[in-house]
Amino acid sequence: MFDVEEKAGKKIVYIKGEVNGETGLELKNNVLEIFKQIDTVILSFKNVIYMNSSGLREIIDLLKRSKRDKKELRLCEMSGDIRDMFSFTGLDKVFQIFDSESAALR
Amino acid sequence: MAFKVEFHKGIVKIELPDSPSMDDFTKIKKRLEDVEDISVVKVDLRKCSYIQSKVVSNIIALKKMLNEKKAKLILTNVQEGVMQLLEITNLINFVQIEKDFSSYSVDELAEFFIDPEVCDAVSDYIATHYNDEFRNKMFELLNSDDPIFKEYAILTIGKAHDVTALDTIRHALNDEVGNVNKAAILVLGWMGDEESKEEIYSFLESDFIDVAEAAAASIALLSDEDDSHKLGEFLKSPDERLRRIAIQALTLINDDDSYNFLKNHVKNETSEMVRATLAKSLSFYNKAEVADILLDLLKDESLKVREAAASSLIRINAKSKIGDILQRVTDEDSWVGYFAAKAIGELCREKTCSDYLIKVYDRVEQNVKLAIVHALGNIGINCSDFLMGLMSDKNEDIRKEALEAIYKIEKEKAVEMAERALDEDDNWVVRFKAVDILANAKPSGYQDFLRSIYEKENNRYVKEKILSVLEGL
Repeated sequence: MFDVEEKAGKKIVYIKGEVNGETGLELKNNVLEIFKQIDTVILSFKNVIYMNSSGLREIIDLLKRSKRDKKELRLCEMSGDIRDMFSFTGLDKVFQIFDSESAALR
Repeated sequence: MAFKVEFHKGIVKIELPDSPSMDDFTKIKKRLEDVEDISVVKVDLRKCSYIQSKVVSNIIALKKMLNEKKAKLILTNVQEGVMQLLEITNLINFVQIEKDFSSYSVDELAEFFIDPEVCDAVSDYIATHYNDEFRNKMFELLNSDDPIFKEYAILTIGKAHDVTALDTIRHALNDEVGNVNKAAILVLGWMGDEESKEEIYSFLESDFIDVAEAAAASIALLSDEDDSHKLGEFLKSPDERLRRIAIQALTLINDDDSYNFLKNHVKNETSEMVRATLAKSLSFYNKAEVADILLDLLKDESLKVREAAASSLIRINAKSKIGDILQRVTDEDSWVGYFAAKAIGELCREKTCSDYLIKVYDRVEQNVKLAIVHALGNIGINCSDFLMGLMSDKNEDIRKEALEAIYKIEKEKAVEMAERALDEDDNWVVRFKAVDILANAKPSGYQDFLRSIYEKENNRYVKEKILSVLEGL
């Protein structure tokens, strides 16, 4: 469902395919584990084709928890369609969203 | 008043007084000279509504000194009058300029909410640094008479996820200002406040489209198993805008019920704009039959719907349907063929596709021919001989597209064809594309070649293009 790589002192989680309630929960739990070792996690949406409101709810919860623990969650490389979902829900104002992985790593 | 200096982890922050003097800069330089390990010096100009030119010289001297220490100079909170002076003196290109909200008090920051250029950035800053002081200020603004303060206080509290404000934000649903309602609706969605969902439904029919869209989005975020049915009822509304909003919310919910509503509605929807939205929405469902529905929509009576269907086939990467899409390239309706060829150009990278497109090329109409040539370039399989043959086509758009396609496949050949086109082609659109290709490929001696072409070129657009390439060098 996702691969994890470390770059420039940050972990990048490359999400694949579909973000729904089930995969979103798995993603959230894994990222919370990663946050135990590192302060900044970047979620790459490059290979995400499908996403629904249940998946989005898990990512909102992940952000809420990361803020509570003073961790930083960044999102990057969204297709126009996935980005539209964030804009539609106003969540583009809530998350730090970067166009490219390199911009998110800065 | 003197300047103030703060040191923190290699970053030095210097706040200048309203009228900085030469003496201030002498002292600043002296203090910085003795400090090791500086990475950034931020000079805060928020108190300076104007600076004298001698201060500009001192900023330049400071930058030079910091360059030697391998540290960066950033000017922060530059006011309009000072910005103009930096522009006139051309310093704006040599010094980084940014906002530094940490220099402002909580009250000063809140005042920025009425500045449309920085209100979102200030809201982000407060949410990121949310503490009791910010919280108290935001709660104070929630009761403000000014709807802009109220709107941004709600959004900021939402970004900070401060659920202690939930009751007040719920109350803001009754506010008479649309933007305040919208902010409250969005934040209640972000906070997962299911109790507000029924009330939010009433905003779907708001006269303000932004409010109605926010309501649809938040209902989707707060949805349970019943909401697809409720939203599905809105697909029967005579209001086209409401049907479109309902589709967006159903797409976000993305369960089996919402899929069935949307799939069935495609057949009944009368508005081409809404059908185009449906064609896009269906591509968000990970279901095998979606590709077949989209293939059917390639034959929709509306070009907008066909275009949306082709884009959706590309979006879902419908490689398994390449054979079906290829068959539609020769459809008797040439616009079906056009969008089919466009889709093939994005989906296929196989020789079988380029061979097929070349085989049917002579049988299709001009618009499909153009889409085929474009697709051949994207597919990338070497068919330069076929494309070079098109360089003598009587249609200039075909010649231009063929040149571009050759460039994608075989750069050297494209350079040769571009040079020939600049010499021989009688249409300026093709010659313009040829200049573009030489500028991108940069073959040896191309500047001299373009200079020689410039002399004999008689079209002003091509001449300007050549000039811009040569000047760019």
